[in-house]
Amino acid sequence: MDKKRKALCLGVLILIILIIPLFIKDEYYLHILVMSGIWIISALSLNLILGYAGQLNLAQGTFFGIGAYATGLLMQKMGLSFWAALPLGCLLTATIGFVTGLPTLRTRGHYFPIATMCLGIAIYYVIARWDDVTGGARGLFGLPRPDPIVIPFLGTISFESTASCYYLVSFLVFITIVVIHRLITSLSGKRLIAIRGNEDLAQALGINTMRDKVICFTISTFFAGLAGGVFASYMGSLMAENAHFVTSFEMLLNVMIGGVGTIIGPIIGAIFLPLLSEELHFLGGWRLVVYGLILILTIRFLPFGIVGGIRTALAKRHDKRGV
Amino acid sequence: MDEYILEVRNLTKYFGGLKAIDNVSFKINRGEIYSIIGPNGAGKTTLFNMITGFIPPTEGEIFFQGQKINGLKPYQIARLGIGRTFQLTTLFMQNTVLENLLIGQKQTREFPVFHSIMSVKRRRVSQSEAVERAHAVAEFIGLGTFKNTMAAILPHGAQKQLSIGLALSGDPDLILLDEPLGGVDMDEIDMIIELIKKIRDEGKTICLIEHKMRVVMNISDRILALSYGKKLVEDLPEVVASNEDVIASYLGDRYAARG
Repeated sequence: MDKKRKALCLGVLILIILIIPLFIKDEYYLHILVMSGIWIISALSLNLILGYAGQLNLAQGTFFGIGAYATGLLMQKMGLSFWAALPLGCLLTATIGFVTGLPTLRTRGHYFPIATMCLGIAIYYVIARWDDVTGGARGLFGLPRPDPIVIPFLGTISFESTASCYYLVSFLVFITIVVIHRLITSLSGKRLIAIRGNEDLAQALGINTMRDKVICFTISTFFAGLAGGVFASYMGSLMAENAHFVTSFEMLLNVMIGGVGTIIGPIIGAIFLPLLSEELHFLGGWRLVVYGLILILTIRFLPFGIVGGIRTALAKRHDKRGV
Repeated sequence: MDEYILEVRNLTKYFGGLKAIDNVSFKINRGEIYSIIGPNGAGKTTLFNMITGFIPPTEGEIFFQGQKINGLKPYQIARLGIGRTFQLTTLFMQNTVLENLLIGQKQTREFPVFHSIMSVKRRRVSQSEAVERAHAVAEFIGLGTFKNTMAAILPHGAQKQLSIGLALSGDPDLILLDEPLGGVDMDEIDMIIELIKKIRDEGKTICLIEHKMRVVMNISDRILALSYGKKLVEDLPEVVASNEDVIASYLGDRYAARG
């Protein structure tokens, strides 16, 4: 019964996601939804390494930037189609993740965030100063949207409209959720939870913690690259700021406010925070002050984010009923 | 097969200028309960940490089932079949008893990430095997009724039981228990002693660090006494108990002279 109910909920949710563009005619809101999808993918990627393996990676925004620039440059300079550039961009990001993960993941405790933050800043400066390749401070412009897909006898799917990009991003969000959900609910996922809980104990139980951390980090950077690659093609232009560590902190906020270590938390955070930030525009110069205050209060009173808060509230209600 | 399961040869460990372990050699027989005693700072835990690969010895060699294991990483040594507990009860505190025991299973530590994502059947089979084994271990250590309790809120004695369960969960041949009775109250002590005996009866070898002398003398087959990193004596419990050096190092020279 429970399984059936779950499947039904999931079906309804997918249906709602599919028909949303039929009701939202305002391009602007559709654009925000596309951006939310991109932030969902990146928040989930950060949550994999932070929420499950317990490693606070402060270079995730930089990996987003690497994926974005790699995909953009492969399309613009190598003339590749988006459908070839995106996977290659993700693989390149994951390769850089693997290579940089090997030394940084040897550190423990506070040293890993510090190491990755330094890494992020160093790569940011490479992107911002390498004029010949990345366009330096001017950025990259004129990146093409995904090429149309031709389906024999049925016609072509073009990605010029915001609605079509919405479907593309929704599909990629779906893939990301499925892969990460499968990983964390498996026995391999139990190993990640063990590493988060106590790395020494995990080793004493025969878990090759270094190997698992590197694999997890590589997968996590792959999805950060995916979010970046889609962002590049959708926006059509890139600035070095996209790879700045401020991007890492935005992702971190999405994960923390939504609820770290859950699948639904980062999704909620990635939808809610950008919306909040947009809706506060009427405050003018006070926007960032109010935004910051809301974040501080949330962290103070909901240390496990919105999802953690809801869970605690439900548990309390349950206890009261029990008595 | 060798008669001994573990052989430690001329082991020495320096921490800076401090000689924590000084040329210690011993052998543990298959199927026995072998206890290591000694006052605080004698180097007992350092010995455990070297056997399980957490710290490298300065000199000397360690053999497990005839294979040299010093130089291997902790997870490699664990996979060869040595389980251990830590002096400070170490558990996955935010997880339930069953989840803790699930993490320790052989299927868990080796299940490939690729199959976790791509396979359906293998994933299900390994998972149900591991869960089944975790249930069995929970029953074996006497925590059958606490399976879904979070480790952090278990009573201290039950936490000790769970830590022994974790050491057992990978089905090792040799189990190193670092003060399994430390801080445990009287009612719970008997339960844990029974558990240790039960593990021995399963054919496993147990190496024990413990301070409660009455218990050690009672359940051990042989005892190694250390003091300031040196081996004082290694013998049957009654011989160790009457050894003057042991009495002196535990109670002070005055008592030894009087006794």
